[in-house]
Amino acid sequence: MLLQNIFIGIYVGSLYALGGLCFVIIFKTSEIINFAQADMTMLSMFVAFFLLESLNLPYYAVFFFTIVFAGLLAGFIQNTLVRSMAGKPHLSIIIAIFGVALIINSLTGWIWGPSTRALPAPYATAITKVGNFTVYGSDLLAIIVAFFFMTALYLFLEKTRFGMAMRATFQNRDAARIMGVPTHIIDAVSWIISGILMGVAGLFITPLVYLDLTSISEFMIKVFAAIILGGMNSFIGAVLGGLILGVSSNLVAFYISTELKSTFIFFIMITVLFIRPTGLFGKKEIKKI
Amino acid sequence: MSYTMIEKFLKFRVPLFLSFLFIFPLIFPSYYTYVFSLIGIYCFQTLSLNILAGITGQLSLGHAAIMAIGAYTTAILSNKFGIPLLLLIPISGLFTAIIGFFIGLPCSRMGGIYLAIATMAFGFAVPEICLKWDSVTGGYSGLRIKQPHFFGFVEDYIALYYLIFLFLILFLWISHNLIASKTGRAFISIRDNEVVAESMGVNLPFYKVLGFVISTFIAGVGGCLYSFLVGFVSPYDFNFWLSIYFLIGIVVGGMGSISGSIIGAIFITLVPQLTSGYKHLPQMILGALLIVSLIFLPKGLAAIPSLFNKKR
Repeated sequence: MLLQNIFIGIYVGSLYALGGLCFVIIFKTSEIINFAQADMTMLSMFVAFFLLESLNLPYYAVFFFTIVFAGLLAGFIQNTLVRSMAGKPHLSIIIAIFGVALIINSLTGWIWGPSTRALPAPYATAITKVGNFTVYGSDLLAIIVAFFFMTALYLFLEKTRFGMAMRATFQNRDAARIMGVPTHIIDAVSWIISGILMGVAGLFITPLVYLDLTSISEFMIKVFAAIILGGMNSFIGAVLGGLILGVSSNLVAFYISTELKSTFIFFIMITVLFIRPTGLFGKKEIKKI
Repeated sequence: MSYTMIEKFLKFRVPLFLSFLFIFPLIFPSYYTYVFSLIGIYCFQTLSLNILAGITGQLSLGHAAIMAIGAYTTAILSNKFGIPLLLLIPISGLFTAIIGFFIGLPCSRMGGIYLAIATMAFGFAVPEICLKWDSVTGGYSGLRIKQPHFFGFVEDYIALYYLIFLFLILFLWISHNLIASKTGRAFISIRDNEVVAESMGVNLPFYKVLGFVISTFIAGVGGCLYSFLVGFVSPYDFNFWLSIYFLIGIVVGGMGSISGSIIGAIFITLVPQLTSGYKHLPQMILGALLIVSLIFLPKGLAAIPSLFNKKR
C-alpha cells in the first residue's frame, strides 16, 4: 500500500514538476512570475473540451491542438502585454499579469458558463496489477509523458544552439544582448515553451480534478508550493520540489487525513518562505543598487 | 466655468464633500445609502492596502484574508458573546492587527516577489481555515450577524452609514498625517529603496512590521463594519479575487495616495454594481482597467490633477 501511495505521489508530483518548470522558465528569463498561468491553462482545457465534444476530434488530435493553442496563447500574451510593459518595474508587470488572469477567467466563464466539465484521461482504460500494486495506465502514461517533456526541455537547453542562447539570457540578460542574443525572441520562446508544458500538465490533471473555473487554479497553488520548495530559479528545484511535494502530500492525505492535504501544502509553502525563501535549490539574488 | 472658479471649488472640496456625505442618506433612497456604505467599507481596505503597498512598498496579495479576519472576529464575538458594535470595532481592529504583526514579522525578511507569494498563500489559507474550522466559523454556510440597533432619530442603516464614514474619515485623516510624519517618511523610503533606507538608519524590520500592523488594523475595522453592513460572512466572500480587486483599486486610484484609495474604492464598488446584470463583465472591465492603468497611468487617477499643473 505504501508503494501504491508513493506511485500516486510520483504521478501527481510529476505533473506539479511539469507545471513548476513553466514558471521557472519564465522566471529565469525575465524574473516575472506568470500568475495568469492557471487561467491560461484553464482556457486551453476548455478549448480541448470544445475540440473534443463539439468538433468530435479524436483525442490525439485534441492533445496536439490544445498544446499548440496553449503555446500560442502564452506567446500572444507575451508579445502584446509583456512587451508593451518592457521598461516598467517588475512588480507592475506582475500586477498587470493579474489583470490578464482576471480577464481570461471572466472571458472563459462568460463563454462556457459555470458548470463543471469533464475531460477524459489519455489511455484511460488500461489497468495492470503487479501483485498488490495497481497501476493505472493513465497515471503511468502521465509520468512517462511528463518526464519525456522534461528530458526534451533539458536536451533543448543543453544541446542546442538556441538553448545555449537561452541559458546565456538566464545568466545575464544584458551581457547576452551585447553578445548578440535576441532576448526578445528568447522571451517569446520561453513563454511559448511554458504554455506548451502547461498544456500537457493540464491535459493530464484535468481528468483528475474536473474542469471548472477554479479547479486549475487550485492545482496551480500546489505547483506554486512546489516551486517555492524547490526554488524559483532552478529547473532541478522545480522537478524535485514537485516530486517531493506530490509524494509527501499524498502520504499525508492517506495516512493522516485527506482534509489536511491542502493545509499541509500551505504549511510547507509558508515554512519554506519563512525559513529559506529561495527554496532548496534556488540561488540567492544579490541586488545592485 | 472659468479656471479660477474650478480652482476655488477645489479649495473647498473637502468641506463640500463632507457636507454632501452628511446629507446624502437623508435625501437618497436606502439602496444608494447601502452602496455608499459599501464604498466606505472598501475604502477601508484600499486605504489599508495603500498604506502597506503604496507607501511602504510591501505588496500584499492577501488583503481579502485580513478583511476576513476582522469580519469573522466580529461575527463570532457578536453572535456568541453579544458584544456590542462599538466595542467590536476596536476589538476586531486590534485582533486583526495582532495577526498582522505575526504575519509582518516573517514577511519583513522577504523581498518583493516572495512577500507577494507569502501573502497570497496567507490569502488562500485563511478562507480554508474559515471553511474547515466549522465549529467556530460556521464552515461552508458562513455566519449571520444580527443587525445592530442604534438609539437615535435616524434609521439603523443610516446610522451605520454615518458610523462607517465617521471612522473612515478618522482613518483617512490619520493616514494623511501619517504620511507626512517621520514614520511616513520612513515608509516611503523603504518603498523607494530599501537598501538606501537602511543605510540611512531606517530600522527596516520595525517599520515594515509597523506598516503591517497599521494596515491590518484599518482593514480589521473595515471587516468588522462590513459584517454589520452585509449581515453575513462566508469563506467564499473573501477569496483571492477580492484581494486582486483591492489591488486594482489602489492601482487605478493611485498607489500611495489617500485620494487614490478613495477613487479606487469607488471604482471597485461601482463597476460591479453598475454591471450587475452581466455576470462576468465587471471582472473583464476591472482587469482591462488594471492593465490600461499600469501602462498609461501608473500613478493612478489621483495623479490627474498634477498633470494639469504641468500644463501651466
